[in-house]
Amino acid sequence: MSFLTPSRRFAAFVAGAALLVVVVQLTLAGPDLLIVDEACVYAIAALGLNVIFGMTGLLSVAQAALMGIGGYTLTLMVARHVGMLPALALACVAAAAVSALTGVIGGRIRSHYFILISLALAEGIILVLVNDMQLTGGTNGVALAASPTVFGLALGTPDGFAYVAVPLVFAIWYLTDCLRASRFGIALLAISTDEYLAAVAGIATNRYRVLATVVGGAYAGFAGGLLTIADSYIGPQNFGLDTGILLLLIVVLAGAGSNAGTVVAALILTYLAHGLLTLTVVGELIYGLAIVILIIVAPDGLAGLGRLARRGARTAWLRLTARGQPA
Amino acid sequence: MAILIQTLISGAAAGAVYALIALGFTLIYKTTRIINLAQGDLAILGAYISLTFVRIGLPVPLALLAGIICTGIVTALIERVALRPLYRRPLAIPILCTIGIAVTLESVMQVVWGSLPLALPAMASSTPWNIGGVAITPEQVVIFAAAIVVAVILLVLVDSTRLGRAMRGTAADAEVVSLFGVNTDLTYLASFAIGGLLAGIAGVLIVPTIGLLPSRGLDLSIFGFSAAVLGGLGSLPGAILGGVLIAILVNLMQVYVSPSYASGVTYVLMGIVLLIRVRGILGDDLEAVRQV
Amino acid sequence: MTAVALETDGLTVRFGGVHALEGVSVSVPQGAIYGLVGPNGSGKTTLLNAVSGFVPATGQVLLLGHSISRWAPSRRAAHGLGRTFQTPKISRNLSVWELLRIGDHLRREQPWWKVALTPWLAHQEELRMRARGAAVLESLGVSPALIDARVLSLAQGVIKMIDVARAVIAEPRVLLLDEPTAGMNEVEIQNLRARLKQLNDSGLTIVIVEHNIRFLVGVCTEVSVLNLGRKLCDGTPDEVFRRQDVVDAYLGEEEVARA
Repeated sequence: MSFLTPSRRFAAFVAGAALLVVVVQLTLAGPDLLIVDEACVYAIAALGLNVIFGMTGLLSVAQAALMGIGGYTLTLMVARHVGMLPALALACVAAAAVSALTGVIGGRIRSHYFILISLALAEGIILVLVNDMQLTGGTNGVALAASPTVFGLALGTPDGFAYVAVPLVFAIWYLTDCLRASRFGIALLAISTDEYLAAVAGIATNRYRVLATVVGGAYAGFAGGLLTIADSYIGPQNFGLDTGILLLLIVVLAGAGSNAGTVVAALILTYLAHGLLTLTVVGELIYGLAIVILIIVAPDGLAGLGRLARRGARTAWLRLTARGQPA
Repeated sequence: MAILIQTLISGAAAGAVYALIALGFTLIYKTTRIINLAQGDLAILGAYISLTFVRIGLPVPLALLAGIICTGIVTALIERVALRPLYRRPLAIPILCTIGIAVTLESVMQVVWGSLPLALPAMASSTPWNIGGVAITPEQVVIFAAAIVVAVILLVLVDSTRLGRAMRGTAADAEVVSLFGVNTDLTYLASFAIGGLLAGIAGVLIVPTIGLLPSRGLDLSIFGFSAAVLGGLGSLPGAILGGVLIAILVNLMQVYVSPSYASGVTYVLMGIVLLIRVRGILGDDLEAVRQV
Repeated sequence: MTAVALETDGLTVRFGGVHALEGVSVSVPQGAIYGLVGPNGSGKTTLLNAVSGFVPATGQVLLLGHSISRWAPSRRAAHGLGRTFQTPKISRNLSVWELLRIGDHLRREQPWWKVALTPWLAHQEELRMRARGAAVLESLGVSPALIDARVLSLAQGVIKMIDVARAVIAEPRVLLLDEPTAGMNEVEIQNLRARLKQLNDSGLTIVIVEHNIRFLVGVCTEVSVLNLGRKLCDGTPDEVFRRQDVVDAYLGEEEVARA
């Protein structure tokens, strides 16, 4: 067991969040801050995908499209004079409901073929978002009707957003860790390991799969709503398959369903995505190759590296402390 | 009435091509249980390679043939390099890898051939004959005929040759089959190579109609998958039936309901099939269906 | 009359044209250690799978008097039907502890909000469960020090015992064992025999599908012999293994002669 007892863990999360907020506000500005903001949004969405794929084994490219559902729901609600927080809640609910659809339809299929339904859902959602001029403004998108503020902080600005987004990432990361350690998480672990094993352990596979898609979808809705708040605008460009695959890549890079890995990978990949923006075509190529190479060479991703590092540190520590003792 | 028949005819030609995509995809799935998400991109790659052969001076039929064969080779290489190391891992991993391969292929095509639409010469003329008020182009006839011929050859191959039987066996139980002296690695490779050939043929047939762009790969893939699911994942005749049905339905939707939402039919259909009857129209005992 | 823990009545399983199981009726009394034997292809694993709910079957299955024939496998497990696997199905790189947590799922009381809001309480619960897991491992002769080891890195015989631990930790009423001795050495087999007797003494009804007849003779109170999908006969091991038709069914397998 790790040396972090639960109280220390909780404290670490709070301290980490506070520390990072301070660091971010003091050291970054302008475009770098924008990247951090975007990384926070993708980290939240990726954590949701981690629940769906990393923990449950359901391969999905629809997480970005579900973000879109969340974002557009928020926009539509705000346009009808619904408050920002209730609108955000509704965004989660809407995305969770649509995501549950895949869970229900995919109930009869093995986890690895889930990709087909997620593909259909992702493309279907984009089709509607792009074509429905009335509701969604089509490819032009819609501006957010109200200006989002929380305790006087203007969330539409990069640093205002960062104040809220960074702690949110930590909070959601913590919650996802709790999810994984709970009864629910164990059920997901069983389902992703082997369905027969889950069955004889008394786990109702169908129910937990749908629940996993609901939870993951809620994360996506939340992330999509946050993105809309940050940009004060929403358009279908951010929610297509490209982003869906990026999110998948984040979870793959993270490795072994690790939440910490997901957050770190989100930061790394968002940063890289912006660096490669100037050479978009080559950027795509690197995405594709990165997935292939990562899977073949480093299946456990960052989590695997972390484990190796910890083992190395532990060995070094033992060697260090054993030096004073007789052989 | 004439419009209806017109819609059905153009649907049949497109459907024959979707059927080829679905066939390649289904063959690979039948043999290896892997969902090849790059199938459509491989088809478009075939068209691009054929175009290059045309540009360097080869007569069109030879260029198309060369393009098709190259696609088969590329697919076999991809299997050997990127997928073979992954067979011992959980099935989600190779499938995930094909996503990476699809993205890589699309961007490679963009880098090499650019993102402006190009034109691949068709195998037959597209000036329509007028038969009783309905227009059929020689091109459509050629597409349909070629696709049918290829499909029949494939069905015969899988049914009666040793390789074909091996392919059916490895899907069921790779370990048992290897005890019978079947080389699993070779069988997997063959299924991918043939899948690549089928993709190449589909690509050179359809590209003159839909245009040559890297992004077309994804569209083709989705049509192919829906066709395969509708016809029954793992059923080769089902893939053919599914392809034609999907094309006709999409065309009908385009003409009679709404052009922009027409492709949505494929998504809705996939959802309905998976919800109501997972094995599709002709599918049998599916590996993809959960036992528990 | 002793109560019946597990009963099948006319259980039939057909795959396409193959009749894997034909009208098999078996009655396992409570507190028994019941053996299911038969040559290869006799249908014993199919019988186990049908009882678990993994293959569709016609006929009745009764667990502790309730008909479970229409129940999903997870529901059967929730009502006290435990089971191990011939080849433990572990595709992820699980640790022994994680596998035990899975086995313990039914009894586990760790809702996520409890973990989030009162982490120290959840931690206490976690430590308690871990101690229980270690105790179960110990009671089966597996070293508790292995609790954080990766399951797939251990020896085959140890993996099989850990699978038994995984099934036992859920405190089932009836435990089905699928070829438990396969992959075990002689020492491990002796250990298994002793531990099964211990578990049985504390009230667990055990059903064992086995190839190793010598093992069964030493530990079972009653045995059923299957052949070609049908039940040949049942009775105590002594009665059954003297019968000519049983010997014929095995046709030259030295096991029967030696046992």
